[in-house]
Amino acid sequence: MGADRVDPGRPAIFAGVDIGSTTSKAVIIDQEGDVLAFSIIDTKQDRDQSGEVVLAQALEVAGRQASDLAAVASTGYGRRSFKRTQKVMPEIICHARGTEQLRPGVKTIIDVGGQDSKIIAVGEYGTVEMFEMNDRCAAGTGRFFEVLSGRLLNVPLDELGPLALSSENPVFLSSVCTIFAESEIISHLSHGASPQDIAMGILESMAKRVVSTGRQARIAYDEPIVLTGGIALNVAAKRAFEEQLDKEVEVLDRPQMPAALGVALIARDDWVAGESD
Amino acid sequence: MEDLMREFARLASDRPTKIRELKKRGKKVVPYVGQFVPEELLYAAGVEPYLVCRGGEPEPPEAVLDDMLRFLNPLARSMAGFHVMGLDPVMPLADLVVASQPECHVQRMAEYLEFLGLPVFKVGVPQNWDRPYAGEYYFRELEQLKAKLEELSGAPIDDERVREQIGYTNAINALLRRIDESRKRESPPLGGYEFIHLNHHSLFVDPPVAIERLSEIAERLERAEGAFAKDSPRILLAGHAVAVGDYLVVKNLEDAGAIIATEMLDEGMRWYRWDTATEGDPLRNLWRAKYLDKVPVNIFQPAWKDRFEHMKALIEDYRIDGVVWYQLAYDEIYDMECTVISKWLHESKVPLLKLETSYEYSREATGPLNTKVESFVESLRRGR
Amino acid sequence: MAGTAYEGFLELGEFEGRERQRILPQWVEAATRLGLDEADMEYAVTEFIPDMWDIKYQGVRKMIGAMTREAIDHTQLKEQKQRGVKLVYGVIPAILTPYQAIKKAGGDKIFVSFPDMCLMNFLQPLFHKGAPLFELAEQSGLTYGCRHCALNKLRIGLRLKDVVPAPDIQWSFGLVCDEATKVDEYINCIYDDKWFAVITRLPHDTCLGEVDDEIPERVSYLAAAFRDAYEEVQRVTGVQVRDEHIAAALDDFQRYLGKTDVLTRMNAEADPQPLRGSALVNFCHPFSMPFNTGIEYMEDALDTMIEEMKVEVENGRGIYPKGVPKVGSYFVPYAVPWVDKIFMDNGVATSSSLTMIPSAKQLIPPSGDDLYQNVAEQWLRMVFGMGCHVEVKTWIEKVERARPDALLMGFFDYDRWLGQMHKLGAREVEKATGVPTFYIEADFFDDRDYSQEALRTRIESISQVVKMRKAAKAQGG
Repeated sequence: MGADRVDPGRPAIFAGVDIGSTTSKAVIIDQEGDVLAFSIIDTKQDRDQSGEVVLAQALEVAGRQASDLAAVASTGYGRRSFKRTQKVMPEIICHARGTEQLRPGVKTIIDVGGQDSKIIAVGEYGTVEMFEMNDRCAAGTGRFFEVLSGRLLNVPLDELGPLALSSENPVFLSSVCTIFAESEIISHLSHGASPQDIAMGILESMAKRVVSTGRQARIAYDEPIVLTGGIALNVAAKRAFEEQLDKEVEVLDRPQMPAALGVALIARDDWVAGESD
Repeated sequence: MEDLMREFARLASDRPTKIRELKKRGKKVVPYVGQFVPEELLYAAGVEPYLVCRGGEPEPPEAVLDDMLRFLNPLARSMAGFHVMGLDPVMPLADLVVASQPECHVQRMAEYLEFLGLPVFKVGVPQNWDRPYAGEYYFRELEQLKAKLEELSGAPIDDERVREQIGYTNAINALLRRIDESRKRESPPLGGYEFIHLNHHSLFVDPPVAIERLSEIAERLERAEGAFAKDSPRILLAGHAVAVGDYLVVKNLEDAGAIIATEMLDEGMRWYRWDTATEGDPLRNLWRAKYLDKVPVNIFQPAWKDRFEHMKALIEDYRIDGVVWYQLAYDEIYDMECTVISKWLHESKVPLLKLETSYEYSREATGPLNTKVESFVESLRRGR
Repeated sequence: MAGTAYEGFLELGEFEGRERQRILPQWVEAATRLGLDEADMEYAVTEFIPDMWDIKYQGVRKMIGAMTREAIDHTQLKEQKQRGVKLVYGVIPAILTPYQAIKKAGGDKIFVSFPDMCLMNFLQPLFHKGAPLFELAEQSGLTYGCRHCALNKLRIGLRLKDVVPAPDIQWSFGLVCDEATKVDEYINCIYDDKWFAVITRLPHDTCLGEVDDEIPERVSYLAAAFRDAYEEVQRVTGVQVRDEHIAAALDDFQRYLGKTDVLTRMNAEADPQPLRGSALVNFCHPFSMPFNTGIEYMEDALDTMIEEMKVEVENGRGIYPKGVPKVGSYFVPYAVPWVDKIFMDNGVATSSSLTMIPSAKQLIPPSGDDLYQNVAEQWLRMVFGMGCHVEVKTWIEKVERARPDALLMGFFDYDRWLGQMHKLGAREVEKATGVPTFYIEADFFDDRDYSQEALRTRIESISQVVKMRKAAKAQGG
């Protein structure tokens, strides 16, 4: 179990595997914490298999082998299913650690995934000071956006961001439920609202829900604020959150990476501590 | 220890069977709801009390939705729901159901039981506890309860018998306090999961037997080794209630490496920190102990400032690293208190995690629960 | 400002000539403080209000005007407080007599208000603009998912937005509503430690078969609770309430009650029905909130409406066609008036509210000389949420009297005080009266939680069933 026996002739590398409900990610880092590879796939029914596949892909990108792995750790909902893992860590902790690595000094992380959203207040060195999760309602998740825009606007997901950005008069969605919002959108469409205004309206509604979740938990949204998760790939999402917060929101180059990176760093830290004992 | 716990659990779970036998022999059966109903009075009356406080399963709250409002807390709906589903072994045997009525959720549940044809006696509990006329109302309610029990049993309730029962309760409380002390150790021999179970078991076992069992357990614990790692984060679990059967969250917290070092719960636990006086009028003493001489329950008004002072004292006494607020869904007054507490804890720099349940955790949705629990515990550990 | 939507709104509210010019700048300022902009005004005047309210009647327009005066007054409370006016707030549930009595005793030195009720009755039904304040309260911690009462959200939102200042004293009855009074503690703990409240609570222990107002000890208990709080209110405000003030307040109440009874009965018995159910409820606001600018404007609106209705009835005219079925409600959801509109679009009239029809007992004035006993009796006779069994009996009595073609229950899904017995009660009423009952799980004040489309489908179905049953009955079926 765990990493194959490390080849002492090659520099140690470390893997972090984030097995989420929608996608699985793997990050390979070196002992300095530099990212050698990042890989992402859709999570399969077999979570262990998902972990293996995404790890193998990442290793290939890094040009390394499993035998070089000094430590492997996992996070995400499927973290315990990954048989190779030597350590499991909940994703909120990993998220904070990974985002701090990519954006030193971050104070607030907003992560919107497929099925949940998280808001994390970050302290020094990427420690978690407070967090809140919306795991009960689709209206504050990527699912809200995917379902509504995909089904109703018939625009590919990767085109929705630029489309939404071109909106000049986003529609207002009052409904707090995905199902009810769908009827509202149909009504807007029948009144001639443009797809871009609908797309931006959906994003704004989602952003409002997410921000509200954090406010209810007394998260102050101190800056710098970083948006992560699949939604951050949508170029209009940043604008939607900035309007809600009236603050600048930053987006990482690879916004789905932080949790996998964070758990890789934790694996590395443990290994280093073990080596120096 | 495990053998003692198991035996105690067995005795508690045998209670319905025992009650069925006693009923056949002419004993009156009285299920009761809430700690404002003095079990001492029920035992002194010679009836068989049975605490109604079962929860943790998602189906019973759903089973009552044809008739009850959805947005009542799942514990109140469970209390009626187990009966509606035919899963409550004792309610069908009830000669009288005594329900304390401090707030709307149990009021509506008790009303529903009446609608289902059960004989319900309500003990009104006025919320404005600092007003003398309100306190006297609760005292008169206890007097009426006493009269009702005497009518049911066909015999007057002797003051000495009430004092005797008060003595038993005080002895149980003292033992629970003694056991609870052990949780102040750096590595306690038991955590919240076991302590809550002990409370629950003690509420279903005849008091003298409960005293015996708890004594043995207390003795054993005093000599026992610690069961938790020394760097385990120490948690205060607060909220309305951990119902009988609703153990998943408590277990998960401790499986994640935390110790539930103490609790601040209004129901489902004995109010073991406060004893009842034994000299003088026992009814007046019960009244005082339950209504005045303890930290007020959430629904009382004013309450929250006093409750927070109590929480601060617990945080200090038990060296608490973080607070977990266990919120029953739609339990609106506790939800409001959590917001108030979260502000004050934030100012005091004590981390807080709010976990909300509609009892769905026992079936599904444990992924997000585990993420929250483990993240909180880990963040406390790293923050130490 | 002249010729703007703001002025258009005042015109709709029957403000005329010099008075309109005088009030216009106050109204613009008030609207701004309430979060209403010109677009909101335009929407209200040109679309929402004409669609939702029977503004062909001068009585309805005067009622809108009366509510507007009250709303403007509320936005000026900070200035009033600075001038030394004592503010006494309350919340529903409440009997208004003591509040109105203290107003009579204190005159201009006192302002009595239920700010949440007043501004909810203004913002939602006329502008559909309660949501920003609900959201403000939710973001501050009155969590959305817990289903808190929107009235309490509005209360907190108004305080957070500093629309209304803290009162000199808040007297919250609460009675068997838990959240109302705990919001006072919430505000005190979180936002404003000068928020001073006294409460009047009742234990939730009415037993099966008990009729609270017939049990002397229970009436006395509530009377003692009222006295306890009211003495504090008088002490803090420095206003001494005497018998003549109470008598005057009771007279006002009984007089107004008598008139609304006339209007309600006329509307229920007329065919075609002249007025929509939600408009009818609005004339009953003086039962649920105190007025300061004067009950006289509301009473004038009511008087006008009664005269107009007489003319309509004499001429066989109405808002609905002749012969349409009438649906009674627990409480016509006037704050989301599009519900009423959907019924109307489907050829069904909303008529009476159980909450607004006085029972035979309620029409009897209180018996004794003691204010507190009288107020206690008045409340306990209303049986709101005291005990399911006796309350359902009063529903049966009211349905027998009003004889709607159907009864709509629900819209109180958030309310553990008033909402619990609807499902059970609906079945009991149907069993006892033969009037078909329907239940809709929805929120009376806050329509963000439910889809208009889904509700439209439900209401259409109910309407079809009601029409079919009425037709079958007419054919002797």
